[in-house]
Amino acid sequence: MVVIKTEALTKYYGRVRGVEDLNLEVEEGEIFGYLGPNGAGKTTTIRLLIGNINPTRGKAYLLGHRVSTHSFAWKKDIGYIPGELSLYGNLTGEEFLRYFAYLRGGVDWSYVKSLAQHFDLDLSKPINTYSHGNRQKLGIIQALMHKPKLLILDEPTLGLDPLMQQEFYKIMEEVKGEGRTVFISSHILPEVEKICDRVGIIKEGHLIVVEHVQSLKAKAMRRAEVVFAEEVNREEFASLPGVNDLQVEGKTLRCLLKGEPNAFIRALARHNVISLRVQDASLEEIFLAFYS
Amino acid sequence: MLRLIFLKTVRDFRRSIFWWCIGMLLLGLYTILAFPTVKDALADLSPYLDNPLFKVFMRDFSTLATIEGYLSIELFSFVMPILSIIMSIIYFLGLIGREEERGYLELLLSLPLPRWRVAIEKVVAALLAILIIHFAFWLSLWVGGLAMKIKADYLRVGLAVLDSLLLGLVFGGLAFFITGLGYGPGVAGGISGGLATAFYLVEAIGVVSEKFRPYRKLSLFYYYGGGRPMVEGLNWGYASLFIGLTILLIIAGILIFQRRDIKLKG
Repeated sequence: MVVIKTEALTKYYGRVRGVEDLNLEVEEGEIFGYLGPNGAGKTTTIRLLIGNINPTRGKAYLLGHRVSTHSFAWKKDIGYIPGELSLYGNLTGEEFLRYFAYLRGGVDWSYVKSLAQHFDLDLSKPINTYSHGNRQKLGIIQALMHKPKLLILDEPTLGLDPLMQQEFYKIMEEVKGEGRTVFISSHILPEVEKICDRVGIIKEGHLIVVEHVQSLKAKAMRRAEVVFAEEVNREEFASLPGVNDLQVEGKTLRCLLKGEPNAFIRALARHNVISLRVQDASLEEIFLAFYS
Repeated sequence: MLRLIFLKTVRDFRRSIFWWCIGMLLLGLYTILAFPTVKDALADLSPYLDNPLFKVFMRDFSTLATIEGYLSIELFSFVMPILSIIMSIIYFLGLIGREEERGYLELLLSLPLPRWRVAIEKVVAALLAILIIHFAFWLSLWVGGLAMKIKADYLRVGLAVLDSLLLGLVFGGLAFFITGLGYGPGVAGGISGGLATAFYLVEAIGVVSEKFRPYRKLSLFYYYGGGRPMVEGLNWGYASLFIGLTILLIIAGILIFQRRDIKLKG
């Protein structure tokens, strides 16, 4: 079943492009990552899907319902975290969640408590005393608390510490295990690699690719820097599959690795390696490498 | 418990309602308690009675020596309508405008609620807040009057307060309408306050100038009774005009809000 469907979805803010001719389908039970640099149109897409802004043209369907700014019944099955999360600072975490639970309906409070425990969040404190990370946790809990069929999350792990990010990933796995669907936007490629089944990459308002994560991984580049005990021959590495932008300066080798690095690792094993550093390439670099 | 947007909004207003009530209670008590002193000194005020500006809302100077005349000049000719207008604008422009400016609507409108319900519950909360404050003001006049043994028809004093409240609501409704269009609280407050000032000037000048007299009917202050409801009762036709305009502005604001883009924080 298609949970999210857009047909030539387009949004202009006056003359400024938001997104253009977006055709997208997200299947039930998958975690779909939505990637792109700042200003690419991720938040615009999400706000169109949630019905907070009107499309200039085109249509969006969520769970089979046509999305509009004045329709709302379908929202009972949606959980949402906006990119810029603003919460009522004068309420405590519990007051806020109870308020949203009453307005939304169908919330099991024991589940809310268990989520708060998962995220180690003290709900008795006023929100205006929360750190950015704790506010983000509260946002995540409110999105999850009614066990929605579809989660629409705009940069949900922003501000979460690594431990809490792991908790979040675990919960995403549970959500997926229950056959629910997640649409998640992110800048963080490792996060997307970890939790998403498929990804869509948006650039300058256009959806330029929709791929399975494995396929994207094969295309992704990593920056490698190796220091050897002795000088190495550049030619030995230049011909290896997946090695790009190779630079050898004395005992130091730098390159961009594309795809599976097995051949590169085997080549390294023939030498005495003092240090090895492999960095994920930024999303921006992937764009430049593959799509510019 | 916060089970409704209405209750949450009232809760948000609770401190401002308290301080508005304190201020209005003090204003009412000060004014009514000062009446005996002012009455004794009325003879000294007689030169000012010829000032044409006094005619703006006082048609009959003979009432000046009475509590009704005194309250008209001290409160209902200028201070009270201005306070009612400011109060209404402040309450109404925050309902959508401030919530949107602070980014709260982005999440609130992701809930399975119609936008009109969100708006109406907030409007009802603002109306309640304004009613409570005006009631507190009327109460201060009544209690102060009883304490000072000042005889007056306090129900009619209440009608004058109501008249001021209804005038204020029109400008509150206008502020709401402007935020409903998507403008921020600054713009809504500026336009509503500016228009109220312009209307007041048109009426004030129209009273003293033959040339401007025909334009008085363009001003909402023309339909505002000032202190007259204490003597003549409320002009329900004009009161209906205020109510009608307020409802119209609120409904128009909601209809536009229902379908427009929600702006991001800031």
